[in-house]
This record gives sequence, structure tokens and C-alpha cells, in this order.
Amino acid sequence: MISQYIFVALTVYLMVAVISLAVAFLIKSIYVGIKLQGSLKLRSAQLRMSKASLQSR
Amino acid sequence: MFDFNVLSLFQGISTLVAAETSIAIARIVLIALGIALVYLGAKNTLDPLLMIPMGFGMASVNAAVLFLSAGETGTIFIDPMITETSQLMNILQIDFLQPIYTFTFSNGLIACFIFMGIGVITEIGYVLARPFSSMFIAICAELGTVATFPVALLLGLNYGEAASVAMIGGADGPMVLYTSLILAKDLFVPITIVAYLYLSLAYGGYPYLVKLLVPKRLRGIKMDLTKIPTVTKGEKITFSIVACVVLSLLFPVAAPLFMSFFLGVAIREVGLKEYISFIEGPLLYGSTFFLGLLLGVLCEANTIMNPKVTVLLVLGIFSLLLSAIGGIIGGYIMYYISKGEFNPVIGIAGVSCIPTTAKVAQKAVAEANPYAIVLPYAIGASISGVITSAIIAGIFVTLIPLIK
Repeated sequence: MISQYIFVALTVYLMVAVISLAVAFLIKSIYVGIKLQGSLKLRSAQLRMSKASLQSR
Repeated sequence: MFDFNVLSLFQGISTLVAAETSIAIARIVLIALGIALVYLGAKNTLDPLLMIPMGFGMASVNAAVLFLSAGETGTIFIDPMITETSQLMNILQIDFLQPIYTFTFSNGLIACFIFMGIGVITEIGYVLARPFSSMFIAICAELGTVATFPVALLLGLNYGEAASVAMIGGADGPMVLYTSLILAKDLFVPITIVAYLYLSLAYGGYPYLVKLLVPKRLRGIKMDLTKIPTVTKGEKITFSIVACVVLSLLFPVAAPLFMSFFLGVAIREVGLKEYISFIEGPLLYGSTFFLGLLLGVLCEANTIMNPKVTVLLVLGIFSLLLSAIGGIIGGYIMYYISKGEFNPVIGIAGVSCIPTTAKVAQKAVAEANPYAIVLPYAIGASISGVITSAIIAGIFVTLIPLIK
């Protein structure tokens, strides 16, 4: 009986650890994704500006 | 001539005289405990926001017992055990705190209000900046929750009760309330009371535990705040909605709490001043006040004299103590991984209880080294603690009915 209780507790802990780390990974991915999108937007804005300045010459 | 007893004029005293000895003693002890809570709250030894209304409620409800119909005793404060709809309708018109209990407490709404308030005062950027270290510490700080579960089973509680009392180790009051409401409806009143009582004690007791487990030299380690990357408002808003949806998809049972928390975060980041001042002021403080008052009023001797309460008291302190030790072990592991750059005191903040444990960590560090600031890292660990507590609550609520 005791071993069954401990097994259930350890299973729960393992599940918590795996899911929490997956959530941490998700947080990191979202963060990196948002940053990447931000830098892409910035880069495309820079390209548009340089193109516009070239055309004006 | 009619038979007249002077005591019958003062029903609080006559019910005390007429009660069984154990109930009478319990009433007197609970009145004394209520007064003690008000005193300790007023002295700031315990959290005054919760303890002062709780102490008042506890002292007055145990004094104000009267004879109801058919010689039964009770109060006109609240009846938490009511189940019949017709009885409930009657009680709603008599017991003055029953509407707040029925419509906000027993369905978990008050917990959602508090989570919304916590969201509004929380800087989520710290979690976004260092998610893995924060989450690792929070996982370690769930040690008490996981270890208490089998111990509670061995002490004779069923799976639902064991899971609910184990949740005290997550140090997250609303989450304990929520889990016990679903898994241990009969014991949810004493479990929630024990949880909030101990959470307040954590505020006073954890600093001593930190001093005991972490030497002054390590407590004074300065953290490099320049390593925290800047997170823009847009990033935080995007994160709050995505995280809310994903976590709700994974754990629908905890979705009301996730939604409340991340809605609070989004409102803060968008800068909706009217909502912010409403949520962080009247809503958060109003909910905390009524939560404290209701918890105090629920400590009526007849309700609390459940034989399982002693077991809950022991398991509650065991759970919180182990979680704190687990958190500090996590802090030490991070200290060794970072080759001495990480302050192990931050581990205590993994025990959720946002923002109390983060403040405890900063206070302990500042006492050892006034120039050391760990609050941003501690807040990150604390928020992660909320997330891991929600995850473990979701697992328990999903898993326990399958085991039964």
C-alpha cells in the first residue's frame, strides 16, 4: 500500500516537472518568437526606408 | 409564577453553559485565538490584511452562538453545511454573511478576484526573461505538496482529501480552496482555514527558516540585474493571452484562475488606469477583507471540531515546511550551477504565495547585505510557483477521480 502511495506521488511529481518545464519552454519560445517578429518588423521597416531613399535619389 | 433564568437573556453565555464540555472549551479557545490573531496582525507579526478581519470573525462567531428552532444552537452569521436549495433560500434571508459565502466563496469567485488583483500587481517580465531557472525553483518548491500526499493517505485521509491538504504546500490559498472544493467538499472549510492560517504564519516563520538554512555569507550574494533583458509591453500582452489559452487548453479545471491572473496582467500592461485602480484597490482589498472575515466566521466550534482537523493541522505545517526546504534546495542547486552567482535565498520565493515569499526573500537578503537586490528574480520564481501550483492542482483534479 505504502509503495503504491509513493508511486502515485512520484508520478504526480514527474508529471509536474515535465509539464512545468514544457511551460517554461513554451514561455521561452513565445518570448523568442515575439522578439524575432519584432526584429523582422524592424528589419523590413529599415529595408522599406532604404528603398524609399534610393528611389528618391 | 413563571420559571425565569437570567442566563436565557444572554444566549451567548447560556449556549456556552448548555454545550458539551468539548464544544464549550473549543469556543473559548477559538475566541482567544481570534483575539490573538487580531493582536498579532496589528503588530505586523502576521499578515494584518487577512488576520484582522479573520480574528474578528473568529472571536465574534464563537461568542454569538444562540438557540435556534427546536433547541438547536447556531449563529446568524453563516451556515457552510447547507445543501438543500429551499433551506439555502431561507438561510440567505437570515444569515447576514451567507450571500457573500454562497455567491463568492463556495464557488471560488473570490479566489478569481484575488488572482485578478495579483495579476494587476505582478510584473510578468521577470518570468519571461528567465523562465527555466524560475520554473526549476518552483518545481523544487512543490516538494511539500508531493511528499504530503502519501503521508496524508497513510494517516487515513482519502485520495481527494489527501490531495487537497497536500495543496497547502503550494502555498497558494485560492488554489487550495479550489482543489478542496472539487475533491474534498466535506473538508473544504477546515482545509481552507488551515491553509490560510499557515500561509499567514509563513510570513512570520519563513525568515527564520531562511536564516537557519542559508549562511549570512550566501544570503548577501548580489545578483546581476543587468542580465535581465528588457521585455516590452507588447511582448507581455502577447504572452499573457497565449499563455492563458495554452494553459486553459491543458488544464480546463484551473482555467478560471488562469484567465483571472492573465487578464490582470494584460490590463496592467495595456495601462487601463480605471480598471487597474479598481482591481488593485476595491476588488483586491475587498476580496481579501471578505476572505479573511469569512474564514474567521467559518471557524465556528461546531464546524471546526472535526476529528480530522488535528491531522490537517499537522499535515499543513509539514507541507509548507517541506516546500520551503525544497525551494531552498532548488536555490542551492542554482547557486552551484551558476558557480556562486545565484543567491540561494531566492529558492524560498518558489513557494508561490505571491508576493509574500518574494518580499521575505528580499528582506532576508537585505538584512545580510543592504546593497543586494534579488526582488526581480524572486518575483519570477514566485510567479512560476503560481503556475506549478495550478499545474499540480490540474493534475490532482484530473487524476484523483480516476484513482477513486
